[in-house]
Amino acid sequence: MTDYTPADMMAVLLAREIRDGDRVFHGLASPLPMVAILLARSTHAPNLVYLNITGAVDPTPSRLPTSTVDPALWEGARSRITLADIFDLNARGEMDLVFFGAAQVDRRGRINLSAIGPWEAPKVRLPGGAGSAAMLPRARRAVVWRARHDRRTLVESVDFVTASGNLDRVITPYAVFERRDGLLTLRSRHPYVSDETVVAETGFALTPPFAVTAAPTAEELEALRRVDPGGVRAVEFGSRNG
Amino acid sequence: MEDTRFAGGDDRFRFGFEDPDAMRALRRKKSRARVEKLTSLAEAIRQGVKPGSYMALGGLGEIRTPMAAVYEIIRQGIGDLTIATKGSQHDWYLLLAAGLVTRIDASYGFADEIRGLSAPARRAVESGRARVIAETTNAGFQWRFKAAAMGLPFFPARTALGTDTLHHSGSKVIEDPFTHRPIELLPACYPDVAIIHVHRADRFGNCQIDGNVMEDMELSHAAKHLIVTCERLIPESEIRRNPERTVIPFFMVDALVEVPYGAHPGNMPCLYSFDEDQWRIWLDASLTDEGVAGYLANYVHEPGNFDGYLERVGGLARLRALERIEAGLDPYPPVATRRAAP
Repeated sequence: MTDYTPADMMAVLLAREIRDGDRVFHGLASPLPMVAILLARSTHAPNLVYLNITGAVDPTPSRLPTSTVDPALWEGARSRITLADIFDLNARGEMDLVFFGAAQVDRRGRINLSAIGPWEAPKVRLPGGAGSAAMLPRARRAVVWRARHDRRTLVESVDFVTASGNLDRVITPYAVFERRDGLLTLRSRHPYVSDETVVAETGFALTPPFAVTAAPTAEELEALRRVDPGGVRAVEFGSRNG
Repeated sequence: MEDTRFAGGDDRFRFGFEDPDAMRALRRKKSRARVEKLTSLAEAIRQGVKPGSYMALGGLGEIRTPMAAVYEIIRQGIGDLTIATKGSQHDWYLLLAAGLVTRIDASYGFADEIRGLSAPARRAVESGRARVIAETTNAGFQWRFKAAAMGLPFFPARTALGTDTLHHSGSKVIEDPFTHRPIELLPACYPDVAIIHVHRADRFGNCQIDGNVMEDMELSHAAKHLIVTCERLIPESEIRRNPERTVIPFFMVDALVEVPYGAHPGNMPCLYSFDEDQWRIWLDASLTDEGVAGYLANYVHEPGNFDGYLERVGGLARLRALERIEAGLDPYPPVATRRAAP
């Protein structure tokens, strides 16, 4: 038995990716990164610089919305920053970390947010890449997350390369992947899943045994409940894309 | 990892592009006089939105989107539109659901964030009723509008190299003559018409926005025709007291309409919150074509105009409730999510 959920695990793992002082950005449809950034700021990374798509620098929201373009995420900011300035900042190499979601991620660390099946006549039309194709290649590091781990998500080769670039980690409810020499390898699987499940639910070959992800500490969980008392981190597990 | 090939680009994926000199000639013919821009919503849409137009709508997500204008386009049945889906959702889904959009220049636009993929948008594209004609990025739209605003044919960027997005975007990759490395040239985007919803404007079209301006400044400079809807008409003297808040000056604006609550059921920062009740009704209706037709009949066609719409969604009592939520006087309600398809 664990006293934390997969959503708690993912929020904690995304937060651990943030280094103190990082300039970090999330776009729309990003509740887990939003929570992770606030968690990191309240624990190990008090000097991070939080940028988001509402055009805020270091906001201090009093309410956490589920839409991450909600102006609630503008509240208490030190400065406004236009969307143009965010893209420029990233393009010139001053964005330390960006978070992007993905419907599919492949072994080479490329992401698909455009279409399942042929692009011209898709089986499933996906949301679209938003800023990913522009930002992934020029951000210093990108972390991709998906609140689902299965063979439809983690594939040998994506149906459409919406974006590729400096993807460094992929975080799922089951595991953490890192990209080494251009290929995703499994860094650790979470304590509550088996090696067999991870292998069975991943669409490219992995070689167990795997290291085990460090479970959230009591301090991390306490901070998490403090920054996200309403449990917004769980919404990505309730309403799934595609 | 980067794709270092030079790509000639594929003109089949280039939309909204114009020759900059043709655009100069077009703009020289336009009056930039400081004249009354105020008109009715019906007239602004009739004059500004033509069948076959390439259209871009202001705002982002469900924030400050020009919903009243969308309902009017649907009532007038102006179709065969190409839409730049640059991050907004409900606005263009309704146009698509009404059968008025046939082509989509896509960056983000087929999901309601964590509420999931849009059922009617998926049905339209997966059935072939509408076609995604190109992929680009939010930054791409920003830069393509900027190029148009600068009177240029393209915007250079070192971005989407090595992706399928690049090869479906109308961009070309050339050797940068300074560094001799590959560089992406994004084609300028000159929308035929843009519609932007703002907080305040005077009758000449000096527009003020509170909160995030998103890509609306670049868009207003890029579009061939700009329709502005505003929450509140204010006197010029009030504009002059806070000129730093004026983000779109009068000479950019072709038509202006005062439409209080014009972003409903979306959010207007500092004024009224997103309407979760209305959103739940739409999410349920959106599961089937019949549901969508019923929604459009009930909320768009039958009311006849935007005042009628506001009555249907609950009138003053409902709107005051949304204002109280936005002001922080009442808590934000539970978030509406999509139910499973029947």
